Parts: sequence; C-alpha cells; structure tokens
Amino acid sequence: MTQQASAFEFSDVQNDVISRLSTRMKFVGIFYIVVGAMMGLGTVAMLFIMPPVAVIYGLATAAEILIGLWTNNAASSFRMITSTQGNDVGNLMNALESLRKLYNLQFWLLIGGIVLCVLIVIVALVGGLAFMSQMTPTT
Amino acid sequence: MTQQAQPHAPSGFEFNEAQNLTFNVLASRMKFLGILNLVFAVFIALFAVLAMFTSPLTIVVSGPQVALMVVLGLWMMNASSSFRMITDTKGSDINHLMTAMEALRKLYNLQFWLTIAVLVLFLVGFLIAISMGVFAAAAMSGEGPGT
Repeated sequence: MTQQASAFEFSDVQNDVISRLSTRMKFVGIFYIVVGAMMGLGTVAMLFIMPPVAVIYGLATAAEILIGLWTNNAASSFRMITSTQGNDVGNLMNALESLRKLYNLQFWLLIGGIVLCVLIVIVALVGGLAFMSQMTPTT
Repeated sequence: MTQQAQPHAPSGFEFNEAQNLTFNVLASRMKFLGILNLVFAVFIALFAVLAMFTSPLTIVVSGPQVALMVVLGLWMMNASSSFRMITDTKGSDINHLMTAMEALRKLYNLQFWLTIAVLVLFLVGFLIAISMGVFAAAAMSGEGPGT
C-alpha cells in the first residue's frame, strides 16, 4: 500500500544528504548570479563599443542569471525539506521543478549551440566551394 | 505521527503520475547533458593526444578538463538513471530518489570546489598583478629625475 504524500517525512540520514546538497547548490547558485551580474555590466559596456556583440553577451548574461536563480530556488526548496515538517514531498517537487527548468535551459542552449556550429560548418563549406570554383580557370 | 523512510530500505511511498512526469523530463534532460559531456570529453582528449606531438603542454591543460567532464557526465547519467527508475519501477521510489540525490550532491560538491578554486586563482592572480604594479611603480619612481 502506498503512503500519502502529506504524511511522508524524510529520515535524518536522508535529510543530511539533502541538507548538504542544498548548501552546495546555494553557493553555486549565488556564484552564477554574481558572475551574471558582472557579465551584465560587461553587456552594458559592450552596448557602447560593439552593439552586435552586446546582444550575445546579453543572452549569455540572461542564461547565467536564470541558471543561478533556479539553482538557488532548488537549494531553498531542498532546505525547506529539512527545516520544516508536513510538506516534504511538496518541497521536493518544487526543488525538482526548478532543477527541471535549469536542465531544460541547458539542454536547449546546447541544442542551439550545436545547430549554430553545424550552420557555421555548412556556410564555411559552401563559401569555400564557391571560392574554389571561382578560382578555377575557365577553359 | 509522520512516516520515516529508512535509507536503502524498501518504502511504500510512490510518486503520482504528475510527479513522475517531472522526474521523466528531468531524467531525459540530464541524460542528454551527461552524454554530451562524455562526447565533448572524448573530443577534447583526442585533440589533446593529437596536439601532444607539437605541444606537450596541451595534455597537462586538457587532462584535468577531460577528467572533470567525464566525472560530471557520469554523475549526471547516474542521477538521470535513478530518476528514471522512480518512474519505471514500483516499491523503491525513495531509495532511487536518494541515489539520485547522492549523485546530485557529488555533482554540486565538485562544482562547489571548482568555484572555490576559480575564486582562489582569481584572488592570487589579482594579488600578483597588484604587487607587480607596486614593484613597477617603485622601480619607476627610483629611476626618476631626482636620483
């Protein structure tokens, strides 16, 4: 027979693992946010020097800050599991939802990066072939 | 009284369908990122081996990077397969969850220490730059017109 979600409480040993995970995630999350803030300043500076590069900087900054915020949210929900009683599964699911968003973003960023790399290779190949055909003397 | 789950002991608790969906999506994303980490690690290792003949220092720089990527990739895949087991099996959801949590803890522990290392390196570099600047300024003032 399955237990009710509201009645479920993690044991002390499990709370210890979750608590340590939460501490590490909090630190990593804050680091991401701080680095994101620094990149944000760089983006503002880039706006005046090279606006097209500032767009790329801006996107990277947004991703960095989102990853930091979601890591921090997950860390807070994990902490709530150990510091409160009566809603362990609810807090766990909140933490996992933040983790899902975080890994979803990383997944799509990587897909975007791979697609961009493939496009660059194709453009370079097509450009190279076009250049070669122009260089070949016509008879 | 609340029900306490024992570590690595069968528990009657089962996550519901909506919760399983979250576990499933998280598991598939983590698996993809884990595999990609391993693939990139293999590429970097191949590049390092090829570059070793022209510049032996490459292996020193790439070695730790490859090791980190392999370890991160493996822990991501471990966490992913445990999350997947929560949805695919019955009767041991909490045990699988705690295995995934342990893998996540290792993953973030490594990121924590890497961040500390980066901060220490940054601080050391900053201090070296400042001391070099002070020495240069002192040397410049020593060679001034008055001396």
